[in-house]
Amino acid sequence: MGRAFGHRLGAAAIQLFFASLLVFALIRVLPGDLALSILADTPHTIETREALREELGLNDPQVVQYARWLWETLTGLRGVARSTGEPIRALVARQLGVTLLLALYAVTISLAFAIPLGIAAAHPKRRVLGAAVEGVTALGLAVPGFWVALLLILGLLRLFAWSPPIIYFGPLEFFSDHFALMIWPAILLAWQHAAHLLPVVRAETSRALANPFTVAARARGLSERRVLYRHAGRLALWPAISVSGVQFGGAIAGSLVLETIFGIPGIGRGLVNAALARDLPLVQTLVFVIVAIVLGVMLAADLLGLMLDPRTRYTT
Amino acid sequence: MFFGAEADDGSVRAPAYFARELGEALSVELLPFDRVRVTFAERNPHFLDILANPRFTISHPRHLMEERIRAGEVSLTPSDVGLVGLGPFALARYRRGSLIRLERNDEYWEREGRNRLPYLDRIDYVVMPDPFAMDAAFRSGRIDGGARGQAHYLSQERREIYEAELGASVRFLEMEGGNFRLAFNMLKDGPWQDLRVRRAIALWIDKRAAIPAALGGSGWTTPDLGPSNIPVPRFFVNWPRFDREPLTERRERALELMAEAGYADGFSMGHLVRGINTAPGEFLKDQLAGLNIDLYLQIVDEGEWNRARVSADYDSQQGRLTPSPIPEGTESVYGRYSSNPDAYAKHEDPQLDRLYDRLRLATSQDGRIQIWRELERYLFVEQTYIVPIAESINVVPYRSWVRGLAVPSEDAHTFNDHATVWLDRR
Amino acid sequence: MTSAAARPLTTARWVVPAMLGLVILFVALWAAVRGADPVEQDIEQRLLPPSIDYPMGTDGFGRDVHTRVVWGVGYSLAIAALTILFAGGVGALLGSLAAVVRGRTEYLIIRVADLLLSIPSFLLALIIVIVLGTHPAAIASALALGFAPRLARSTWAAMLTVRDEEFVLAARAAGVGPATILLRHLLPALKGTLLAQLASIGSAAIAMEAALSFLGLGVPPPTPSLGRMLLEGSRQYFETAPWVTLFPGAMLAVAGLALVLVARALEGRNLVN
Repeated sequence: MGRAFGHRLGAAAIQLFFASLLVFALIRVLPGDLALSILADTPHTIETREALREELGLNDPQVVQYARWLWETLTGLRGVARSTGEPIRALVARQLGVTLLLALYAVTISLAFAIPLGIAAAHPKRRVLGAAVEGVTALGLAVPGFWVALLLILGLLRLFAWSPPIIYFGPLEFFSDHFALMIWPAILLAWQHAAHLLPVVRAETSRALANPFTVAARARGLSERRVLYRHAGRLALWPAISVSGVQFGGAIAGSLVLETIFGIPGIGRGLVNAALARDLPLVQTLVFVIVAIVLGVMLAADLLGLMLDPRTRYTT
Repeated sequence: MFFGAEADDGSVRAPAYFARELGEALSVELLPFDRVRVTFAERNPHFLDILANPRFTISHPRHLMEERIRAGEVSLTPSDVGLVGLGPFALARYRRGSLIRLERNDEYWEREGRNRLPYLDRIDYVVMPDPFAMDAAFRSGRIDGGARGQAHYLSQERREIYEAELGASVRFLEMEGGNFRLAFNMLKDGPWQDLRVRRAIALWIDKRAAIPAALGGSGWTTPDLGPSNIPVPRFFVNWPRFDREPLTERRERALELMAEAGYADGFSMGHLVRGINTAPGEFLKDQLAGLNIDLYLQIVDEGEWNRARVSADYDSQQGRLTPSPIPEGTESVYGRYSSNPDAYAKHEDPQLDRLYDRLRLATSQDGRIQIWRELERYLFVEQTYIVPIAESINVVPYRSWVRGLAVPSEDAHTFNDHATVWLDRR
Repeated sequence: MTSAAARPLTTARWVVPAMLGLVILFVALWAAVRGADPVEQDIEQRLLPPSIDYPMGTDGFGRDVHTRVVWGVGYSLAIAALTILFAGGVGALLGSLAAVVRGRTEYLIIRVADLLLSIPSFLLALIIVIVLGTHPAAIASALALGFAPRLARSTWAAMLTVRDEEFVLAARAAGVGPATILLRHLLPALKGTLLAQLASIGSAAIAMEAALSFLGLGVPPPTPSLGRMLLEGSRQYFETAPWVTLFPGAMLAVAGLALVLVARALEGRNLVN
């Protein structure tokens, strides 16, 4: 198993490297002067701009610039965000944890609901539940999360004269405020995430139910419930976790707009602000960090799968 | 004393924003008891009023800023060098992107005096990017005051909800918001070079409609010059003394003028629009469509906007929202382009130079008013380089128990120090 | 699952998306009949509640919300169509190419697809829109680039199961060129999965375009865009004039939902195959 894991780790590292290349290339494709974009909002002289170009190393060949950026990023996220003057390491440190917590809550809630629900709905007798699950899935995919968030805030205000806390606190600092703020975007993200999980869980469980060994289990006299959950449902676990891992990036992407609405100082909001401020080097680094995290999560999900489901051990 | 930025090689980098108004200083002397005497080459009675314009960033301290300014950073501000003052409050906590917490500063100099300022123990400035989330937080009682910022200022509709829900426990701070105008680029070729076309546009626009549509419902129509809340120049605020015929008559005349000028079928004109606030641009586009003018909106982000509005690249624009406390301070936005890069209308009309010189040399208040009226008439009617539309009012909500808050007298760019604020809760 | 049990289910799956489609059609035809202008302002009529004259009310500029919503849905569907076209064209083509040609080309294509997949599609779209600007073509390209890799990969994966089928081997033996094999034999076999994927890409494209517009990165005004209507409406008139936000939001959900359900219906049919 160590070998399989090592193989995947290597593949992930290569993927990350190429992803960094892609992100760098995409951003440098921008026509025009990067220094001008950065300085544009203050009247400045040509000399200042030239000095900035020197400082940013924009006069060096692209390969050198890429190498320098990659090196700076990998060795501790060195560098300063041009649009705010904050060191990138500090910026990422304070923002990343917040978004990861949010994504973690979302995925946990999602798995906790989607797995039992999906398994239950797979039973051919449960037509109504099946239809309901289909409906929830479809809505989760179709209705934009930010729209529901606005309605939610409005609803809470009009019905209960209550609004979520305005200052973000970490879970160890002030748990009740942390919870009261994060629960809402977590639920919304969980709903979107579950929309991807439910069909998979349901399909895998149905498939397992039609499997000969399940029939055998039934013939042995085990209760329907036991057959459903412990035998058939169990086979859906690994695919569910696999899909969850793959969709983790989607959870992070989904948090982009929600963080802005709820005032959560996460990396999603940081990225949006950097993009709107045209601070492209910062966008570059933040996207790289997010991709690294996403790949890491997918790797972790893979690892979990290796442990949970022996069948995957021998697939490449 | 020099109003501008000098480089180490002796060349002048940039004239200061109000260089012409600030005049030529011959000498500066330091007098005892912390006084300064500045001697000017010519009469300059409004020097202090110009300095009071909120757009000025005064460079201090010299030892931290001079070197960088000479190196070319001509718009360096004290906060860029990390200056922290000894005001009524001290920074207690700073969580970037979410909270700025200030606590009472026991070393504040007014603490010893009669009032023992400041009264507040603590102020939390909370960062809330979404205006609706701010509404929710205010109305549910989590915050005591609203935010400043284009999207956060209350529109008339939001204000009504606040009033309906909170009644007497909310009050509204109304601050000068700045003028909404259409300014032509006279240095670019186009149909607007014809005075009749510019007049037609000025007559056609329904200025009253701009207030609810483009300015959030709070404002008034005026040719220019605010603000309304500083005591002295009330008589400068010129309620529309021209183009006061009913809208239908004005529009008939506008159509006639366009036909006379040969543009009955209209034409196409570009218009620079700031991305963070497109409503005024959309309003203008629809208005001008009535004259068959296709005003195509060139929506740009902040970086490009700051570069573009001082360039001569765009056919027309709205300029930056900046009122001036006194008429003498308006040359930087109404004067000739070559000496005032920030000018709204890019023109090189020497008549404006002459008018501003006369204004500066006026020896009586009546004289000042009369010359100003003449200047306004020249600029807005006779030449119509600029079409003033309406002035906006920025509304910020506060709970009624927040007392002692001073309304900034210039405009919403001005800070208040909260030193005199107290809470009157039962 | 036997086909007999599945068939009534698959027909039933088309009912709801068909109804939603009819709703959109009805609303659109009604707007066409009324013939109002989506960008013409009438300040005196601003923020009017729904009535006979203005079925969905008017917005802050006095523009007719009904017509704007229809144009907005049209724009969203157009973006979805463009995205499907780009993503589908490029993605399915490259995926099938990889499956048919094999060897180094296959390896390269799949690796590049995986690479693009490692960046969440919304982030990719965000970066591209920042770089290229906000015209519809740029937005569609941005979204397409986010979805094409997924489509390429699943097309390729689906092809893997059939490329070694007898009828393909027979065709190759008969000397039929790869292009013909692709078009005549392989693609039709995967029609169901492919169409289902395209439909779900369409719904995701609509949701993403709305999110970009809500962030201010969508098509610039005064072109009607549902995401932007939600942005402007929720900021200033959320409670005083809820119709300004409710109708665009509802139609956005209807359009997205219709495509999602179409995708599910297509998948359902495929299970039978």
